[in-house]
Amino acid sequence: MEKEVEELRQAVREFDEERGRKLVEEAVKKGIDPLKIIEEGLAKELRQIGEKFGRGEVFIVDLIGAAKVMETSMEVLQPILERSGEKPVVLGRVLIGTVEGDIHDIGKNIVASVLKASGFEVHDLGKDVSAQTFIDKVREIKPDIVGASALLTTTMPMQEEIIKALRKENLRNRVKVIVGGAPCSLEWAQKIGADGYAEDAIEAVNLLKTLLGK
Amino acid sequence: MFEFKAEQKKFKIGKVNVGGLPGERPTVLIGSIFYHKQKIVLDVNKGDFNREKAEELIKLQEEFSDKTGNPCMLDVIGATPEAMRKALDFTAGITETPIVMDGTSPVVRVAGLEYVKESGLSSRVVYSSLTPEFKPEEVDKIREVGVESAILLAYNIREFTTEGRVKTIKKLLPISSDAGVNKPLIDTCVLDVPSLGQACKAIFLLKDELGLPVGCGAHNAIGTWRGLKKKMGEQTLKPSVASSMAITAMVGADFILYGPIESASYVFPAVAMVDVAHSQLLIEKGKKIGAEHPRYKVA
Repeated sequence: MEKEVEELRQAVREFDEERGRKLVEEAVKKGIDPLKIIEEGLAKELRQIGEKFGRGEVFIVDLIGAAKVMETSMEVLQPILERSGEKPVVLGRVLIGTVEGDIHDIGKNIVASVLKASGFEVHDLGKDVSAQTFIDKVREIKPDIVGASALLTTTMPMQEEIIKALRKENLRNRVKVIVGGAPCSLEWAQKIGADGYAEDAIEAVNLLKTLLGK
Repeated sequence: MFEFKAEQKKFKIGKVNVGGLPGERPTVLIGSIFYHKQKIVLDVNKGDFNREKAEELIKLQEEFSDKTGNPCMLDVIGATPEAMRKALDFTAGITETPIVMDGTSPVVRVAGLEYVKESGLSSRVVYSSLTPEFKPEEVDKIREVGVESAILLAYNIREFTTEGRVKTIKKLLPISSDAGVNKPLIDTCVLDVPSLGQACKAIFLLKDELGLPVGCGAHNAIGTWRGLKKKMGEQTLKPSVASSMAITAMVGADFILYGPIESASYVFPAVAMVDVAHSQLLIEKGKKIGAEHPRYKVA
């Protein structure tokens, strides 16, 4: 199994989607546990690349490419997991999105990918997401964490709007809220009543683990 | 050096021509002003800025444009409707340079279009930008105002490849055309150093297939290169910016968004150098190069 897992990790490192998918199919045929394929292979490698990105050792494109291999491979694994009823160990359920009026989503996408690779169940609402949509989805998905990204000084106030809306709907005590994005800071997070701020994807993983006591 | 299958289209935006054969036409250089954290910006939301310094920077770009023969445009950034209107009002009043209207969100861009309509600026404004996630109200407003030029951004995170860029543009073209954009400028999307390679290849592929003016924001490659200053020192920054511009010009870019306008003094000469080198290849083939080309200005 080690050989297959290492080959799969290599496919993630080399951003080779086709090879990743093929290796996953072969591993499944050989009877290797899909959860092992994810945890020991795909997610482990993507996490390492995410950590390297956090340290400034690789480029954005490297992380995008690696995440794409995982995504493509998961298309093979997801139906198998659903049929078997097996589920990966989930550290927490995260609802993430870029706030209303803001269409910048590269950073948010990176955070979502690294969170997935780190064992979180991530529901990505996309970009330009209204406070009301966050509220509706909190009710529907019941996340542990809400992550609101804003890349503009003009859209940062929408992070506060989401927190206010959660309070108004009596949902605030059910979720932790974290904020991120270039103009944000820990001071800003504290000012608007968020539970935390993360500067990059790796910080976000650590922050979520801390907030959820993992 | 460059032979394209498609006939190369040339557009006139304001007084600036963009598009055509590398070597024959100079590369258009577009500097950004009123960007986030620029020293001259006093209040990003209200759109307050140091007008004197802003004018100096605009004149700096024009000075180097005159010296090299590389036409210029201004990438005017606005973070709020109020800031966008103030920025457009100011720049339109002090320069005839075409304005790339760069609102940071659809709401700001639509407000900018309102100002363009009121002020009759549409013939020298480029809408920045239309992406695959455009809002219907943006397209409606472009049509209503009659802005003929827009930057189409080949940004598709789901398929962040060279081919993905080409596909994205092919999907955007009918939408922009429907909005009345008959002078599209294609931006092949640079996020970092590796994607500069993809963007450069896409420049060639799109010029080859569609013949439209193509370029990119090459400065993003350096702006996001975290190891550069950290590992190699502050002194590497400017040469790297200039190099990124030069390689983008080398692959045939018709225009380059070169980032902060403050870089004009070292970006223009770097790109002019490439334009001169290209021009010689056409001269060898007996082609006449215009007197305003960098070929006859920078020696």
